[in-house]
Formats: sequence, C-alpha cells, structure tokens
Amino acid sequence: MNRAARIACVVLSVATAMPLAAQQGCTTPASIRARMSVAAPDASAFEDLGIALAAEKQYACAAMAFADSLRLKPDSANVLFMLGTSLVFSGHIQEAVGPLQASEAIEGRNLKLHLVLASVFDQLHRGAEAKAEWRAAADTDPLSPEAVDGLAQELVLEQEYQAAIDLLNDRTSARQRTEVQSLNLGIAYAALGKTALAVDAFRDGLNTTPDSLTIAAELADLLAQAGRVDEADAVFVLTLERHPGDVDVELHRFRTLLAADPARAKAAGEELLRRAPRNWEVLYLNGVLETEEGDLAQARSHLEASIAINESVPLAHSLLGVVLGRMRDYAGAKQQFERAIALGDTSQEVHKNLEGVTRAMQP
Amino acid sequence: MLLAPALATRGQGTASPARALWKLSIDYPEDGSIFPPGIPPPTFLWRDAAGSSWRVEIAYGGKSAPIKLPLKAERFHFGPSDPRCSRNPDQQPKLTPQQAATWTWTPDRATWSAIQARSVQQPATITITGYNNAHAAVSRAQVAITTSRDPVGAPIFYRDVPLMPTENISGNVQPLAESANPLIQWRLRDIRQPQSPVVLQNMPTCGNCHSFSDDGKTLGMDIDGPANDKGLYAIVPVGKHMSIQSKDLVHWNTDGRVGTVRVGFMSRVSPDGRYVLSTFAGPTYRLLDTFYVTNFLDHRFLQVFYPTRGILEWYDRSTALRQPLPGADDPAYVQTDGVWSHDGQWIVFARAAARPPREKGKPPALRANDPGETQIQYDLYRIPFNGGKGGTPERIEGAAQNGMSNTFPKISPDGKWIVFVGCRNGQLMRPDSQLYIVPFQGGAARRMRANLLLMNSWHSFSPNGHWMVFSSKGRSFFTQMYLTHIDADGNDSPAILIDNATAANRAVNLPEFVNIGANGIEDIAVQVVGAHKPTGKTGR
Repeated sequence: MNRAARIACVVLSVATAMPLAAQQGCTTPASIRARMSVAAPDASAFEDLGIALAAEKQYACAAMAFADSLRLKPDSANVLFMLGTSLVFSGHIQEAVGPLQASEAIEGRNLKLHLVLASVFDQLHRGAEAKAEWRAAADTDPLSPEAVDGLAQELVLEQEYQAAIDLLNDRTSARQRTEVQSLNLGIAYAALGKTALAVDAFRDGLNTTPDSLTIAAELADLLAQAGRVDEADAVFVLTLERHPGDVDVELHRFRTLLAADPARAKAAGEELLRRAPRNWEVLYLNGVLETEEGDLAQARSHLEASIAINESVPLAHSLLGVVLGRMRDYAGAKQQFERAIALGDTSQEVHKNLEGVTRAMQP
Repeated sequence: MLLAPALATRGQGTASPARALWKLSIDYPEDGSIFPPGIPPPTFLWRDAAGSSWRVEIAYGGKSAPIKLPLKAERFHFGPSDPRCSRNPDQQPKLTPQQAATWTWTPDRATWSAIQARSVQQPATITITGYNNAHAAVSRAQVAITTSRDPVGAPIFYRDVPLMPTENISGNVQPLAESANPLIQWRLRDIRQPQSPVVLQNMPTCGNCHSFSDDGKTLGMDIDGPANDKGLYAIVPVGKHMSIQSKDLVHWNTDGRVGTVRVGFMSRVSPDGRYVLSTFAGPTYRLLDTFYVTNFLDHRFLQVFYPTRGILEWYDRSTALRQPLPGADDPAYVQTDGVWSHDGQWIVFARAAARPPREKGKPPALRANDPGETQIQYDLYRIPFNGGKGGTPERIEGAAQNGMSNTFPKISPDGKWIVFVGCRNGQLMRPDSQLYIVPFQGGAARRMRANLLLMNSWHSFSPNGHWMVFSSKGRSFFTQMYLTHIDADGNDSPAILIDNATAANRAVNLPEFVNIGANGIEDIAVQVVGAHKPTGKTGR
C-alpha cells in the first residue's frame, strides 16, 4: 500500500472509530470559529481547529479535525502526529497506531514520535514493537531519560538483563540515573546473580528517590534472600519512616520477618493488627505466626476472621485445617482442607493432611 | 497424623539487633581523591534516603584526634547564571533527579586548611553520618582523601562561552549568533583562588583554539579575519598586559585564495615558541572538502567537527615560511591534532584514511554520534620533527586500531605518557569521549579513573607534569573543568572540580596550563586592523 493510500485508511479509521456522540458534541472554540465558517475551510484551518480543540482537551473532536486536515493535505507528518496523540488522549489507543506510524514513515527520527508510539505499543501489549520504538527513541536522543527509562524497562521485561545493564552503564546515556533506571539496573544485576552490584544500584537509587516503594521493596527482598535480614529490615524501617502507616509496606516487612526472625515478626504482626484489624492478610499472617508458636486458639480466631473477609485464599483454609486438626476438630479440619483443594491448593501436604484427618475421624 | 502447616521454612530467631546503618551515597569527592595544595574548600555532595541531619567526622588514621562537626547541609543548587545568556528555559541548567536529591556541605576555610595540612602524610577519612528526627544515627558513609605534596604550579587559561545555538534567517544552525560573540571571554585561573579573572573579552573578531609555548612566553591563537577568512593566526609574547595587533598576525592564506587553504585545526606553538604546527587542507583540496561539521540547536552538544582530509604543516617564525611535515603530509590520509613533545623532538598526531567529508546518500545527522555522521576512526602516530624534515610515522600501540577513534594526544612533560581521547567516531564534541593514558612508546592504554560520565576532553598537563586539567559534562551540560593528579606511574586520581570557573549557564572549554606566575596575564587587548564582524564559530 502506498503512503497516500495508507493515510486515507488512517483517516477513514478515525472517522469510523469516533462515536457519533463525540462527533456531535464538539464545540468549536471561539478563537477559530471565524475561520471555520467559510464554505470550504482549508487544511491549515482544520489543523488549527484541531490544535484549539486539543488545547481545550476535546481530544476526540481534535482528532476529527486533524483527520479533516489530512483529507485535504495528507502528507503532513506533524498533523499525523497530532492526530495520533489526540487519539491516545481520547482513549483510542489502537486507532492511534496508524497515524503515528504514518507520521513516522514521513518524518523518520523524531524523539516525541518514538516515545508516544512506544508507549502506545506498551499499552497494547505489543512488546517487540514497543521495544523497537524505545530503542529508536534512545538512538534518536541517548540523553533522553524517558527513552532510556522505556528501553531499560522493556529489556528487563524481556529478560535481556545484560543488554539492560549495558544500556544503563553506557556512558553516552547513563548521565545520572532516574528511579526507573536504578530499579531496572538493580533488577538486571540481581537476575544475573550479581547481588553486590544489585544492592549498590538499589541503594543508590533509593538515595536519589527515597520515596520509591518499588526500589525499597526490591532491595529488601534481595537482602532478605541473601540472608541479610537486618539490612532488609532497616530498609523497611526506612521506608516506613517515609511512608508512615503504609500497610502494604508493613505487610511486606511482616512477611519477610516471618520467614527469618519470629521475635521481630511478632512485634510487627501485633502492630499491624492494631493498625489494620480488618485486613485479611494481616489476620492470616498473624495466624501463621501463632500456629508456629502453638497458640492455636488465637491462631484459629485470626484465621477464621481472615477467611470471613476473604474466603478465596487456599493457604488460609489449609492452615486453619491444620489448626483445627491439632485442636482435634477433625470435621472442621476436613472441611477446610477440602475447601483449600477446591480453591486450587494442589500441594501434597494438603492432601496428606486431608487423609490424616479423614483417618482420624474413622471410629 | 502429619498436620504440617503450609509454611515456608523459616530461620532461627535472633535477638532484635540495633538497626543497620543505611549506606548513604557520597558523590563528591570520590574515595581516593587527591586535592592540590591550596585549592579552596570543595563542596561535598551526598544523597541520603535515611538522614535528615548530618554530622561529619574527619579522622587521620588514628594519629591525631578526629574533628567532629555538625553539618549545615544545603540542597544542591547551581551557581548564579549569566543574565546576558540565553533565557530559553530549554537552554538553562536543570537539576537531574540525582542532583535534586543531593545535599551539600562546604567546609569553612579554617576547617579545610586543617584537613589539607593533616592529610598530606596520610589520607583524611571523611565520615558523614545521618540522623533521623529522633536524633538517632541512621546512615553513614565515608571517603578517604589526601592532599598532594605537588603544587599545581601554574594558572589555567581557558575560554568561557555561552551555549546558545541559533538558527539564522537562511535556516542554518550556528553555535552562537554573531550578535552574541562579545559574550565569549577568556579567563585565567589560579586554582588556589576561588574565582577566575577575565583577561580577554569583547573581542572584535572571533578567536578560537589557543596554545602556549612550554616556556610560557608565547601565545598562539586562531583569529577570524575579514570575509570569514579563518586563515589568520596570532602569535604574541605573553605578559601581564598583552596586545594582539595586526603585526602579530600570520596570514596562512599566502596564496591569496581566501578561505581555500587553511583548515586551521588544533594549531600548536612549539615548546620554544619558534614553530607552529597545524592541520592544513594541503594543495589538492578546497577547505570545504576537508572537514565534517554539523551544528545542532541542542545546547548540550551543539556542534560536531572533525577533519576528514588534511596534512600537518609547520610554520617557522624565524623565516615566516610554512611547509608540510614529511611523514604527516600524505594526502591519502587525514593528519591532524599534531602536538609537540616537550623537548621539541617528536610530533604525535592523529591519522585516518582520507575521505570526503560527507558520504553520499546518508541522512543528515541529528545529533553527535548519529549514524548519519561520516564515520571515521583515527589512530595516533608519532614522527620525529627532525628540524622540519619529519620522518616515518610510527603507529602508537594502544592508541590505534583499538575499535575507537583516538584523538587529541597530549604528551606529559617528562615524555613518558600520552593522554588521548577515545570515542566511537570522529572528534569533538563526543558524548562518549573518555580519556586514556598510554606510554609514549606505546603499550597498553588505560582508561583514566578521572573520567566522568559524559564527555571528557580538552586536557592539558601542568608544566610540572603532576596535574592535568580537562573539561567534562559529567555534572552539567554546561561544561566544567576538573583536575586530576598523575603520579610517576601514570596513575590518575578521581576528578576534582575547579569550582566557579564560569556562570552556571556558560561552558568552560579549551583549558590550557600556562607556564607563568599566578597572575602572569592580567589583560589581553585585541587591536587588529580590519577585524571583521565575528563569525560565531565556537567549536574550534
């Protein structure tokens, strides 16, 4: 298909994509009304109309104005770009691809165009095309933080860890890292088993963006996995100082401590219970801890409360089954194990436990 | 009955320890930094996710009591801007995310003097500890710094330029509008002082590359002449009050074909001031057929320039004659960046196969390092000067055929080392340019530790050979200059910023040590008859 035909298709697709209501609800801005009142406005008048409508955030209307402009003058890379971005802003992501690609075919290397197209492909889950556009953006301006952010993210998502590291350490682009870049550099190092470098990348990133919950979470997990629980906990404490009362962070900390340091976990669990007594996971994890400690009555209470709030967690049912079994409520235990299996628990453990309580129920 | 809970295995419980101290990031000075004696107090830079107040402890290997001080930390900010320069918000210095998160502390003069005095024998360990709002220590990091016994020993002459690329009426991009040429100025910096006096400004014409003889007695500088003739070169004696007059100008264009002869790139005055070595188009080519240049509206890297053809020629002041240098005059190659060894016996230069400046069919480059640039990688060579007879060029191993473009050689005063720039393609301005050091005779090249993240170039050895100044965009797109200490084995130290060299929205370029006293130049007057309107070329 030649370029003119492709642009004609683009214009047609815009016209058909726009809901009639949107077409009828457009208000021509006063600044452009006179120019549009002539019998046959020219391409530039439609272009200016589109710009004015976009300025008033009437993006669907702007898109139609840009499409009208393109009908009269199809080869404008800039109008195609504006049409594409208007479609993005009006929520017509799929329809935006055509005009943006047509603009790219005319103009070639344009940072903004590559960035918008890359973002559109990301939203459409078209990873390979998104990566190509992020790469084109980074090639067009290696110093663009947005381009390097996007490409690094894409490389990490596709598990091209060494490529991500090379990109983020490239001296033509790695001037000073953004939050996204620090995060992805750390993830890439960690994935390749370079724990020390990963920790450095995350720490440095957190020193730049102390409020980053994602970097903090990755760093804490990495430290905990490396058995450096004190350091991991220091990261949680630090994060909670910056995000006081953030239940997600407290839960993350609780989960981490539960696996490594019961004393600190208990204090964290009690604090969470005070702060979020109706959170199913808080109740469940306290139940886990209490089961471990042999406080079965308290564990039962918390697990039942957790299931009452969220009954779809197989682990909660399975653990409640264990608690009830130990309390010799075999019927209750059997019911919980069966429920866990029904919810998708396929572990050998739950099946053995179910067999155990079933046998115990037999006279 | 099993009744095992579905839990992950967990480790042994431990007593709750004191909170582990968070590692803050000290960005400047780097660990292992070596400061020159007498340099004004540096500004320490750090980022800390944990602390909200800080204390510093300065220890000297346990040999004397550490100094402990509370810090009055301030957020990082750029210094004052020059209001005469661009007001375009896109062309102003902007904080990176890292800089926005950076805290700063500048020791007072007494503290810094004490640190300097006590860090000569052994390093001073600077520990910064962060405290939270409850006054508990929460973060810490340290760096060790030393003060060199080696003074810098000479001032630095440099050009101080605005970065204001513009598009003229015909749509051509210029690095600087003609009307802004008077904003270019030259300064002299004694690194022991906090500021640099301006010694040359409001030039009636445009001046470019400069160089000094090793004895500090002679200055050479490219001067643009009438009708955009870039074929003038000023050679003047150095003194407190200098004057460049018409009588001091050498006209390279001796055949009268204005603008057709001289490339005029990287001219270098010989160590004794008698000769000038420069790159010329040679007899075969028109000037415009010998170099690749593209200007961009992007102030960060506003120009790319490198010769693709040319030969080295030497000018003898005693005879006023200019001649090709045999061994560096082969039109099959481009030969450029010629520099003198400090005994005047050797010339080191960059060489590549000659080619047209522009490759047909290539889209225009949109930025430095764009694939649309003409591709060229230079190798470094040396030849004897041999009284102007030259010799056979010898490739310098480690600075040739290494997958990089090797340019801008500078030879250490003791003749042992060559420091050069390596990058992917061409010469200036290269975002990826890095400094390398290689033995003069050739060998393994080492990437220098002083390199910062973005663009490292325009280096110059101090006359005593212990220090090197270079420029970099590591901290700001508005180029700054840095020092590094180089020991007898060619090991260099992390970069030391020469602060307050210009306004935050201006760039330092062409820093060059001059072998004179601290205030050896106070002013330079340019009184060139027929000086024409400036041309705006700033890249050379």
